[in-house]
Amino acid sequence: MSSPLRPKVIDLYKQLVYLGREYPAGYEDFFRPRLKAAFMKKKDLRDEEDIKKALLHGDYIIKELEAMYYLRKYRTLRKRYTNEA
Amino acid sequence: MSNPLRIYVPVKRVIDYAVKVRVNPAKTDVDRSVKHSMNPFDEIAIEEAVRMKEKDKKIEVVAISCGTTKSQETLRTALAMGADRAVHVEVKDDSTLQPLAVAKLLQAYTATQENKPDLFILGKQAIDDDASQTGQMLAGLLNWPQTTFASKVELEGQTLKVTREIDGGLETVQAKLPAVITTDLRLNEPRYASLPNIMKAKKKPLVKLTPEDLGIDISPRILTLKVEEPAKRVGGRKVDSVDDLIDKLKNEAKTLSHTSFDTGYSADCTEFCPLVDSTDYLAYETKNDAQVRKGKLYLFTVDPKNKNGLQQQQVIEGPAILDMKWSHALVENRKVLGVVDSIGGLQLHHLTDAGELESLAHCQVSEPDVLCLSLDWASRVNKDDHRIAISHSNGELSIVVPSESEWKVADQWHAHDLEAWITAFNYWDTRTLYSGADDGLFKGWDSRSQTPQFTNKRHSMGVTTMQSSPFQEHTLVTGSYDENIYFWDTRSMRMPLKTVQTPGGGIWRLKWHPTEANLLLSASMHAGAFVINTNTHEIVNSFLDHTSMVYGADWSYVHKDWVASCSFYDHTMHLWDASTTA
Repeated sequence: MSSPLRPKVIDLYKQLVYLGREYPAGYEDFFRPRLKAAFMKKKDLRDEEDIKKALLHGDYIIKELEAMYYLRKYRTLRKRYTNEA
Repeated sequence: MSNPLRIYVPVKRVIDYAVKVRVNPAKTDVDRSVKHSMNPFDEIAIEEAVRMKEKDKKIEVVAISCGTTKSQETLRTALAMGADRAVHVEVKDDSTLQPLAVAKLLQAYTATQENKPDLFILGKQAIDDDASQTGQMLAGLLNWPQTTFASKVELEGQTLKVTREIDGGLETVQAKLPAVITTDLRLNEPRYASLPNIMKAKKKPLVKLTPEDLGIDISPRILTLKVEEPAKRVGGRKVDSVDDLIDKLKNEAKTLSHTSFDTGYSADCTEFCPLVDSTDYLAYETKNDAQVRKGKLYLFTVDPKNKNGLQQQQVIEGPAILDMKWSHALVENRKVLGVVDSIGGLQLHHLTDAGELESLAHCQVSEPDVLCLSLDWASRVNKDDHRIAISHSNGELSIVVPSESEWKVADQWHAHDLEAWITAFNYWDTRTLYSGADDGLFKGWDSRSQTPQFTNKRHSMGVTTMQSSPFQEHTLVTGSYDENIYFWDTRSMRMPLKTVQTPGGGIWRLKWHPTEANLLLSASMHAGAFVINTNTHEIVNSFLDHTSMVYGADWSYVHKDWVASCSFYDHTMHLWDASTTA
């Protein structure tokens, strides 16, 4: 399957792998298998519109992960550095 | 915004915030072979600089880091977040790189005209050392204004308006550039350095140099001697039933009352007989609430092995009693208990072979309108000195001596301007007598000539108790309403040897353990009763079951580590095991 969207899909995969390193439940045993499974489920998509929709969904997941990482860090630091009685 | 503005953001590579830090086996440092990342407060600093740049394109953001080669990863993250270029000051071992050295490096690098900065933005502290010094030191070295713990930054031309997070709330300050800002947690939400941006960052310029290039000596001024983990928190446990709870408290917590006795009258004094034979006798006195003039003296036998370990043997009615003490030395072959009362009298009882208290002698020490507040026998260590010292509510002290079959007042003198709560002999040198009063002073006297030797103002409230150590020749302990216990070397009363702060309540009585030189019992009024290890200054046991002020407490001489304590308003005496597991 060679289409101009292929590099975009590969980039999305690489970005999610990069984000997955920090995943709290673990990269090797939790994140990576699920990431692979999610992409494998969509591997037979041929219609361009469908692929674009899937890419947008991927971007959404990236934003969700970034937000989760930020909140986790903020909450930990707030607890650590405030004198909450 | 006409002139281009150069913002430097120093960043530090630290152990990642989510890593559980472990101490290395040598206890000299932490284990650094774990995940590292940019100090979170530095991320906030970079974010703030990048946001300012997004508002005004003429701003240049330079990230700078001092550390090993691996710091370049951190600089790459800074570039990925939006910094224009990076500077790496390479150091061989950054575990000894301290804030002052970093501040000097930053100042040295930016000293040249081509590198001149307008603004430094730093994280308020690094999450590894929590020093919170670099920004402040840098501002000091540069002689620039500093606006630390910033939660909001506004820049208008050359004027900086910063809202700071301080203990009382928020403070807004104004400064003119050039200046130093340190960022607090709530300043902004840093963006995530995404993979595409990390890739782009590889193309941005990164300059390397060394401290030698800058001519700065970075050797540490502070040496870390030891690194230790904090004490482990012991988890709580769940129990299945009330019976289970009581069983655990009795056997494991060890400070549940073994037996208790309610006399119906306010109790404030309890003393175990120190003359050890097979029976453990406990004298205990109470006051009649209605008229503070009357009281009762109880004699109990104590047997902790028995469920009903407290057996009342006798009750004697009389005037209200303020203090009592058994003599440690036999007085004419008798076991004698001295009792002082609210009408100025000293009553001596002796314990017969049948186990009863019999009146031995009475001495009217002061006028009946003056209360006797405490007494002490001189014979605790020096078995031949049978004198008794008594302190009074009018601040006077009296010495009573046996003379044939009578006990007479040998001396009496004015010692304090307020109530003299306590008097105590130096057991090792019974010529010296101590007294403590409600004015917070305690004094030392030559008891034979009644001349004062010293006046000590260490306690901030009334001095209520003192006792010479029966084991250590020059040790004296004093206690006060001010909740502090001071240990003194009697040869040098200028400063206490040590201080132990008790958990509140105020101290009424301190009693040394009968055999262990380093255990002290404290009757601490509202706070309960405590056993303190005088070597470690720690409270090794507490009895908190009294529901009212604990005034009296004493160790058993027969049953090691057992304590009787009594509380005033609930008129209850509790018998408990104070042995420590330590």
